[in-house]
Amino acid sequence: MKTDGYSNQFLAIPGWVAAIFSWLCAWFWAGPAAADGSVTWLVEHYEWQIIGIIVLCAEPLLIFALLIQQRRWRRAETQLRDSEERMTLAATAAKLGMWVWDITQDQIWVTDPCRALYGFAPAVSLDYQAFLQSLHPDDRESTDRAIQRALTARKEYHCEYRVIQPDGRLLWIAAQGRGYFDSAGKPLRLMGVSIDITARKQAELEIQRHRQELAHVTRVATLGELSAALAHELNQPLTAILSNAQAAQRFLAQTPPDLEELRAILQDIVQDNQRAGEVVRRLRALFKKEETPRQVLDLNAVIREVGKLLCSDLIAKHVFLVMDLAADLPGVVGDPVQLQQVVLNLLLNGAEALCSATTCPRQLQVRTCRHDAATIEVAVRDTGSGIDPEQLESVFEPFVTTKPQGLGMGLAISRSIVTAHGGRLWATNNPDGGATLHFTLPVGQESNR
Amino acid sequence: MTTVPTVFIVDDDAAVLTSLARLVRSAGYHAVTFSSAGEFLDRVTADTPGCLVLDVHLPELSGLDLQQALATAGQSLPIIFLTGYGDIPMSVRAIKAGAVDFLTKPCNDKDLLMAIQQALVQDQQARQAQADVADIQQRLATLTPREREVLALVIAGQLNKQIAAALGASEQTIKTHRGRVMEKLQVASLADLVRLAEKGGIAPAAAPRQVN
Repeated sequence: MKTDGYSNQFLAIPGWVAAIFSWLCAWFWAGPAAADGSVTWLVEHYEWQIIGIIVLCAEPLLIFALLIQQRRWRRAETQLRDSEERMTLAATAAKLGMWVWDITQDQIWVTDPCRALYGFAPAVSLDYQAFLQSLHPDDRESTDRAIQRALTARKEYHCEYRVIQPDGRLLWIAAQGRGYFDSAGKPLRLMGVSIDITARKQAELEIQRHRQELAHVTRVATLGELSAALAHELNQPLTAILSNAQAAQRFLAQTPPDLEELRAILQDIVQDNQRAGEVVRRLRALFKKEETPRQVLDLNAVIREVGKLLCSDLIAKHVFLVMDLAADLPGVVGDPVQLQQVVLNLLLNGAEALCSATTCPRQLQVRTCRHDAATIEVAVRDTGSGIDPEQLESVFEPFVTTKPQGLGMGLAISRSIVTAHGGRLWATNNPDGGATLHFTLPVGQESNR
Repeated sequence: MTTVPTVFIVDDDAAVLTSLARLVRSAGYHAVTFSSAGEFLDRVTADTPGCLVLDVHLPELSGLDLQQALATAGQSLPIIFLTGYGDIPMSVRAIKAGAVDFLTKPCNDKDLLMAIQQALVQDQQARQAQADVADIQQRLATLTPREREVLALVIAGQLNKQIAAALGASEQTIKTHRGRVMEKLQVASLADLVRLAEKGGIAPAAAPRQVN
């Protein structure tokens, strides 16, 4: 390109040479008369020559200017083509599809890669409904909501959804865009890009599945450790039922039978049976392998549920559990089984810490409170011998355990669960002895998800 | 003393407590319930006859702790242990410390009631034995020091002549003392006297130097 520029400059030189030569000729022809310096005389006598000279002078300038302009155009054109090429290359490499939705006309313009992403046939004109129809039925409503929200709030649009390809393949797509509005604020266009994130999503789902499996395995292992206490938990209502029923048989054999007593017995049997059923339900929930849908949860209720489950075990370990649960906490969004598992692990850890220490009293305290406006904190505090300050962080690593029979997975899996819920889990030593394990969870906002 | 024996039941689970009490009452016993070992210690005095049905796993003071506390206090109330998950060392410890039985929950009415019956018989026998000892001691208290000396020598198998020599008295005097001892202790034969003295905790005197 630079050589082009030089050659343009050289082309202009002959024009200049011609102009200077014409001027010199005119000078000699004019002779001494010109020495008067009278311009008027010059114009009168050499009118055509002067015009000729001016034209000759202007012509190369003109040519020169035109050449420069042409060069600029050509450069801009090349740059545009390069830029487009680069863009297409990047878009293709990233499987990026570009689209513009003309809202007033309800027409969607898409690039070819974009058509491929959504499985649209070539050269078919598209509208908003066609776009929604290409999505997985479960994602249509939430995507529509996200777009409307972006247009009303005049915010960036960002959404992830599944697209069913004509051949039945499922693609995960992330779309990002921005609205353009007229002076009255009415949306005119929504313009943006879509990208195939199937691989990322699959990796994420894979990690999630591994985490769930690991969580399940450790949960079952924990419950195995607790089996004696859990059997006791079931045994109590069974004992009551058996004794009540046998007492009833004896009362029935008496004459006259004490009907009032029998009625009370039957009522108690029903109640104890329900209680046994509750224990089984609680256990079954924790043994469950499949994922529980995330839902808005009352953390206090989660903690109370675990407390009931651990009641017998704690009594057998002579551990006294104190619950200090803040009233009217906002809900958190999460998997109830996994969060129960975290609380279970933390309480068991605390109880173990108390058992290995010779401290008295063996008190375990679980407290909930608002950490700040957006998070809730749960703290499990024991009066044991605390954690070696150098191990405050490493206790969360897998296979690190201080228990002789421990697998070393309890705290590691708890941390991964809390992190997956958008929270944090950490340990501190109490100034007056013992350790506290804290975890935070974000306050649930179901409507914004 | 009431004619109906009392069965004391300690369990921290209200439902279990109520049902056990019903079962005990259905068998015609008097049932008194406690939700903790501490409550039992506070409310029950030694002179109530009966037996104790005790859960091993209690918060704070455990069943085994209560057994120990009762033994330390000198109370001989027979104990039947109940447990949801008893291990062998625990049951061995309980039985060694004098428990009547160690039953696993949920327990059959027959097993429990039989254990209760056995415990009540044991309690009654123990109380009878205690009463007998008290009675004998009361009788022994009526003896004079001299008569006690004679008694100790008699049960050591000494003849009147030997006793007289040992105590420096005439054989006739010893005979009179001996007759009065038999009378005061309300026994008819030497064999009865020996048995009673043994129950009353009177040790036979060391054999005095033989007089040839």
